[in-house]
Amino acid sequence: MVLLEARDVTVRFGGKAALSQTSIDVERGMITGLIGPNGAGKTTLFNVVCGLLTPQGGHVVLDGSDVTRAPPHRRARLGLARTFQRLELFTSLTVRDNIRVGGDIRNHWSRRRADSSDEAERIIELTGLGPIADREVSEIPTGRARVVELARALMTRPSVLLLDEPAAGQTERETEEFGALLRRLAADGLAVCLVEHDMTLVMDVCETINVLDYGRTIAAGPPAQVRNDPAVIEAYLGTPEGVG
Amino acid sequence: MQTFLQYTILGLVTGGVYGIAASGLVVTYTTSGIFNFAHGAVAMLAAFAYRQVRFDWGWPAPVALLAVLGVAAPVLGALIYGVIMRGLRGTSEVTRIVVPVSVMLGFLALATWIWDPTPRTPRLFLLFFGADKTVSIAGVNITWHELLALVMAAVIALALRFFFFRTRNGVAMRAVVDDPDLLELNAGRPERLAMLSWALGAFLAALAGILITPIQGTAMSATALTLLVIDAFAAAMFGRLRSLPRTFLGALVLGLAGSYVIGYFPADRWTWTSNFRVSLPMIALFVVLLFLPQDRLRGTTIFRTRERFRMPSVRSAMIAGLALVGVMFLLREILAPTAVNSLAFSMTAAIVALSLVLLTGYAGEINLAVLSFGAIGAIIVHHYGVTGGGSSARTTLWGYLLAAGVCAVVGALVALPSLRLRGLYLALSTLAFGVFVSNMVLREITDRKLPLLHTEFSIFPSGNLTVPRPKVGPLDLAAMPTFLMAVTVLFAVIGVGLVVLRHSSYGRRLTALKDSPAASATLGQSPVALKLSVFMLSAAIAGVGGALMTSQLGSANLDRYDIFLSLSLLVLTVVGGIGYVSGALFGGILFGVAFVALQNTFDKLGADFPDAEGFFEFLARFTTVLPALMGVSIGRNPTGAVEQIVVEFGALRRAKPVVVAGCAAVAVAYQLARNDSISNWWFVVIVGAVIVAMPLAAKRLAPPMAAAAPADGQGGVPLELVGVARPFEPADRDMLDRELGLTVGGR
Repeated sequence: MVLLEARDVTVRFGGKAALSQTSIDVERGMITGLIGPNGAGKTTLFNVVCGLLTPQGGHVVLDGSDVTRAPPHRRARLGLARTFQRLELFTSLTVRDNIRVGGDIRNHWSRRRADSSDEAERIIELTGLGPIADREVSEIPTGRARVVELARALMTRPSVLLLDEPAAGQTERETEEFGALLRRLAADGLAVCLVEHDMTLVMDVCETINVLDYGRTIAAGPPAQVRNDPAVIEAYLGTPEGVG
Repeated sequence: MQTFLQYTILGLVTGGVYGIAASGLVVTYTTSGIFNFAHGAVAMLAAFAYRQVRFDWGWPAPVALLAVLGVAAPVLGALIYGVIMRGLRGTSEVTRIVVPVSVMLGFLALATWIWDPTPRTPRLFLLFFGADKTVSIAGVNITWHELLALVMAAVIALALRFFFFRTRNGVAMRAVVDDPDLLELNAGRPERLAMLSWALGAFLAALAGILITPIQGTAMSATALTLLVIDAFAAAMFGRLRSLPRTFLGALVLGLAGSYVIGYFPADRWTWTSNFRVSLPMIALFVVLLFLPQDRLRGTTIFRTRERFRMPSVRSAMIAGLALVGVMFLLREILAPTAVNSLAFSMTAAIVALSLVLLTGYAGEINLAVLSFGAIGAIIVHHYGVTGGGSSARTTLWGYLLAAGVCAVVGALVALPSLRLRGLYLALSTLAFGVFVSNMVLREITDRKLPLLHTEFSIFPSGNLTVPRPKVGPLDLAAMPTFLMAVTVLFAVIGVGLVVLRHSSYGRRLTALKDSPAASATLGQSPVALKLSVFMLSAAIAGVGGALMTSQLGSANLDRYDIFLSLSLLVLTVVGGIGYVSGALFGGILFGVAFVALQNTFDKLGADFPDAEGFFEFLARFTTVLPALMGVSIGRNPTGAVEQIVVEFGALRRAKPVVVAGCAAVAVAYQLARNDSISNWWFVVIVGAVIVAMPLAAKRLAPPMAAAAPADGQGGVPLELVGVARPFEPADRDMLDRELGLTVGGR
């Protein structure tokens, strides 16, 4: 079942088209990959989907309702959560409070008079952040900081999760654990969209992969198919003639 | 028709001058990202300087113009950028607002220092070419000066257009706006361009100041002139701080509107007409904000900001609160009545400053007119919170609660238009509100018949608001020592309350919003609702604080709620540490007593040592500029003084004997002061010396940190220096393997 659908999204910065009629579907219980060279428009598409950027054309449909014009917090309340490529952690808070605040915000808008700390401990356990939970976020390494962003997003109990290069800055072992965690989350019914340059992780965990280049979708399908797609190889490596 | 034309031309002239000033503001803002609150102060300084050289020293007009407009103003602008503003890269928006505000306050203090604000003969500033040189256009006489102003406005508009689209530097300046890093890669020099734009901005401000001053036709006043060009802010807002043509258009609209108000409002019936005229640009600013499109939500541009506030636990906040009340109790016993008076005033100011800690320190929003909310609070208590009459008149608890409620509602109205916009716009709204309150609300000093209620009512009766001391239940706070203790306890209670709030889920949500609006929104937080609630709460605290401040004074005229005082209090609180409750205490005491005490000390020293009187007089004058200098220093140390003090005193934890000795010294001094063996001044000096000496002594006596470290086998040597600073051992290899995650056996 498709939970998030972006249809024909077009974004122009000045005269330059960052996205031209790009579409993507993200399904429940699946990890959908979104890859492409730098500047292909991946983060721009995320910004459109979560409402930080208004597109010049196209639609964003979240769980059956059109949210193209809705502000970011409204979409979050419909079950959308994301992490940021350029870290957006709350630098005055500890790791634990960064995670708790996700629950605080949810409790506030859903008018639940509950304490967010128990749930935060559960998520900290799940993501393995226990040893650094009392540290200031500005002191922890980038790889861990990305996991904090994931944990914070999970605190809102999302149904759709957008991850923007979560493996950048993580060690190989951390990435492996991260991949396993993602599979578990998807198995629990979460719809995950993953932007990532680490091809091992992408090929490993994604059921479908969308490839963007210059703001257009140039390929979509299962990993094995995308891996051998000539257009994808060209976008990443250049044409064989070009090399010579 | 004749009068209409007359007022139109007058409006165009003022509008043109607004336009010149506003375009300078736009130029500096776009190239450096810093909104120059000191713009009006530059215009003011230029007008004073020009008058000095032209009329006091008798320089010929062309020479004087060249000196002020051609040399002094651009140099000043370039210096402001080069020395102060350039250091603001990578600081929070709060710092980028407070530092220019400090510069403005500094220039004002400087102007009152150099040019006595109450001269024996009023300072006149004659029209260029004289008042008798007029031309007649369609039967309307306009002076050559007005014609000159109009021509200059047109010339500036065209010249700026040409500069930005046809010259290398101008095009490059537009590039700075779009992407300074990219410009640098293309061999542009954003720093030099920004400095150039500040020089240009200062020139435009100076030109506007010199042109508008004689048109006003009244004696020169530094504050009035500074505020006059603040009106240009409104015009700049028409152009969204970007577009020059729209800015000029906005300026003309404002100029004309003001002129028609003077011309066509029945001033004899509507006595508020001239006040309304003065507030018009601020009202316009407000209206424009309503129509500005929403900003894109941005994330933090910097992951590691330079402002960092460590939150105390609720327990240590409570201990600190009790300690404060205890210290105040002991102080009260030995201080002279005047000192108790000023201390009580300081504590009420500190309560007002607490509203800033909540709003600015916790939530990252800015209120530039806290004392205007204080004025509203005082007005409410005056009208609805007084029982009894004569010397037995008291204010009731209900009055203060009502004041809090009304201020919260007024705060909501002020903040609503700009909440969806960036912090700068909220700051500007509050500034507009502050000027509006001072110009219109606090000038409502005569009784007016209210149209529907058939009652006579005056908001600010006879220009002097009396607010008696409070009486809460059996507790009568009429005596100043009791009042001092009451406000100290209230400060401690609100302060601890704020720390509790900061540790609550609401406090975490506020911090999240401050640190990253984008992340906060994508988690589901509605920014507008949260900002509105915190602004209302903060306005309520400011209202109660302001009412108490007035109650401490007994009565107050409108100067007590001046916008410049609000700005000083903000600056001093930021200097103390805007993220801390103790920062508010620090700010309140600086605001209430410190500078006055310092000035009195220097005056007294000057009288005692006539030989050095000139020097002490200089020092006494210098204290008036000191707050602004401290404010400017925030650019270098945005976390504030309290943080530094805490770090300094951290050394005391390892030096118990020093603490004991220090406390003993203070106790002895206290006892002596109590017996009147030493005067209060000596007590203050001794305590000050002990406070300064303790961390120094602790550092000397305590074992140095490095010596305590070698327990872990690495000898305190950084990892990369192992093998260089000391021999490489097998244990190091195992440790490196462990750190790198290599299993030792599997190699």
